[in-house]
Amino acid sequence: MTTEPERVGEKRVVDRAEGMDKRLDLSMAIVVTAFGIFLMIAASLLSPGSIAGPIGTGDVAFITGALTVLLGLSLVIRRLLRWRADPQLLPTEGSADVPGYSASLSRVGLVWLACVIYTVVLPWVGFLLVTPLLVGALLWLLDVRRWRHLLLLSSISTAALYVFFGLILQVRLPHGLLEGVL
Amino acid sequence: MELFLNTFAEAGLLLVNPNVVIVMLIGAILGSIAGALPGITTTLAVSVTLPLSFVMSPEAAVAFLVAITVGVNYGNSIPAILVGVPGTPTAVLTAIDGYKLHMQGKSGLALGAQYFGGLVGQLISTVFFVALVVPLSQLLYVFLTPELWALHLLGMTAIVALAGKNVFKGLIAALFGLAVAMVGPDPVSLVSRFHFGVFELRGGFEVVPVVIGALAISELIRSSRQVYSWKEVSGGFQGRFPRWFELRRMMRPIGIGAVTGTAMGVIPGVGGTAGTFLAYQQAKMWSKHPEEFGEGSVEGIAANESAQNASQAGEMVPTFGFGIPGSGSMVLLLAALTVHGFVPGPLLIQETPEMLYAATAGLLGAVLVLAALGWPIARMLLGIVTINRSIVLTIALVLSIIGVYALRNSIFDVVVMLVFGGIGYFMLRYGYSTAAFALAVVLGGSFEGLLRRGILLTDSDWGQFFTRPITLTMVIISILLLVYGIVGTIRTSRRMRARVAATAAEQSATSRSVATHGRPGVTSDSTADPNSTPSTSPSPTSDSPESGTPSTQKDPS
Repeated sequence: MTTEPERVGEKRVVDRAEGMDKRLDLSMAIVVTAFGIFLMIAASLLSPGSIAGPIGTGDVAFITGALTVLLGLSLVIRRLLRWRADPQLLPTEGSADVPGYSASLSRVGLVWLACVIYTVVLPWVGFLLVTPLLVGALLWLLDVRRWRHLLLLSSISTAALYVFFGLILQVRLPHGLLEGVL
Repeated sequence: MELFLNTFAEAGLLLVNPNVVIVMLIGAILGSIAGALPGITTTLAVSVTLPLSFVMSPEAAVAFLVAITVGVNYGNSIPAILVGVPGTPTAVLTAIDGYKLHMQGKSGLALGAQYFGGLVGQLISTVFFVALVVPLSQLLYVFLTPELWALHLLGMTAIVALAGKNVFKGLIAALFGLAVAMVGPDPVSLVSRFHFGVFELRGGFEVVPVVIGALAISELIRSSRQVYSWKEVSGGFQGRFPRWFELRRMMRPIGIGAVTGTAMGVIPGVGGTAGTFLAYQQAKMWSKHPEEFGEGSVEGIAANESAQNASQAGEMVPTFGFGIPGSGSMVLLLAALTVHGFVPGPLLIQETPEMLYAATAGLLGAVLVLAALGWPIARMLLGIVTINRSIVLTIALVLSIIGVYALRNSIFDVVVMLVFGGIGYFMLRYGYSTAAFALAVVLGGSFEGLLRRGILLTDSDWGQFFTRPITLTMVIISILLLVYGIVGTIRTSRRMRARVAATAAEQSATSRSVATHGRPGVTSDSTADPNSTPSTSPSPTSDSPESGTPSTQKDPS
């Protein structure tokens, strides 16, 4: 296996590629606890509804929130109790990265953001104009850098998707700026 | 017995329907191609190919999606043998024995064992599937609301307790799924809840975008953390197809694999990986040549392949029999069926028996397709594994986006999918089971509805939910499973701590020796670097069958 050369700016993340940062794990537990509290509050504000019963409209949600708070707090306490003894990088409890290759959290964010931006502008700009840009952007982010490949793959995949979804499945793909043309 | 035979008869009728035959052919081939791409699991394959099923009749769509899952199981062992890279975690043991045989110039023997073991195992497990699912679905005629609620509870608890490393995180994931399922109308009084003024949420979340987001998009986004190429194929087909005496030698491990794989697959949350490991160990125990295991054993490959394929049919037993999926891929399969008008839940087969016929046809049809075309497909897939990984990830992401948009021509659905994809990414990274979350999203509405309607119907008698024999049994099993999960979590946590401590001590000793003597391996009494952080990662080994493949620590999918 050949190890991919590290790029500038990824060194910090490389160190975290194969473990679980205890600070982020703690942050997740805090977010979970906060979500549980939010759910309890939102459930208690619900109107009872017209059908009276032993379990009300918000009761199951309230219990769900309370259990979430309890479990979230248990994770927070567990992490805090062993804060000094544990190293910063713990064995992961989730999906680990492939050993030997650098990992980039910023790439994950950019890939997700590209998909979100695509979804937001799709109705306004149109499928045929914005899909090649998304394919190109994703390929670029995933290290496909040859312009010929980018152009070819973007145009071919967009055409194939348009034929399959737009023409064969008759899905109403947004035309956007090309509304009058198509 | 009549129903058992009737199911096969109805499935046989579907198998002579040209439309169904064509979609099964496409499904088995597409599934094989997807399986051959390392990191493309059954879940991803189903989510990406789901839009293809929109043009099909409901029966054809079920057969198509089931054929996809069979194809993935077949295809994922081809790169395992020829490249040493398992397509999915269930093919890890095939990679060990298969790749060794390939390197000895016996790839024909290895691929033959994979072909024969996989297909015979799938065929046997299909019979088990129908034999188990038919009586289970009939049993549900005597189930009332409390029993159905307890069944939901058991399904969710099993996947929480048996999947993932931390049962507390699994529980949180399931509770989060329940909370998401509660958005929309109250199942009893129909009061709209938790929509926060968002018009589209008044009816609740659409299940498919949420499930595809949590199970497929999260995995695709996680995969984009790293950029690398799948391993180069070393050599092509060499050697010959196994001879008759070699095939006979495989029969026992295939039988062991089929029984173990189906049995493990039936238990929600356990999944195929555990089934393959157990089958491999059992086959080794019963083998006359246990020394070959791990060094290129055709029996090992046959046992693993048989168990792997059988586990798929096993996972379909609770999914179709009770409407309670036991793994991430089955959650997605069930959610996908909702697009075709099927309603997930315990009454799935009672209300739509044609789905059982179509699923059986899908299993049998895919086996027939792969029996006829599996060998040439294996040759073709030799080139597929060299496809650029970045292109595959990009196309899968774009297909998922357009596919979910196509469900209802709704941009909001795509936004929902991406939001849950983002949340799912963090869940995956930090050990909150996305499968438990997705299962709770699918079953959450009926879980709450059954509890509340049941309480009303039984005149607020809570005892009905805990004292009736079947409910009591299921509640006790649920509690035992949770206790088992908690004990497992504590043990895993202790083992991890011990490993971290051992690594820290080792590194500390190494750094001391380097500081004193300028080379590792020589200890000294000098003070260790207090800032040294122990590495928790395994070092990459170029010969490892798992090297170069995406993580094998996944939710059951």
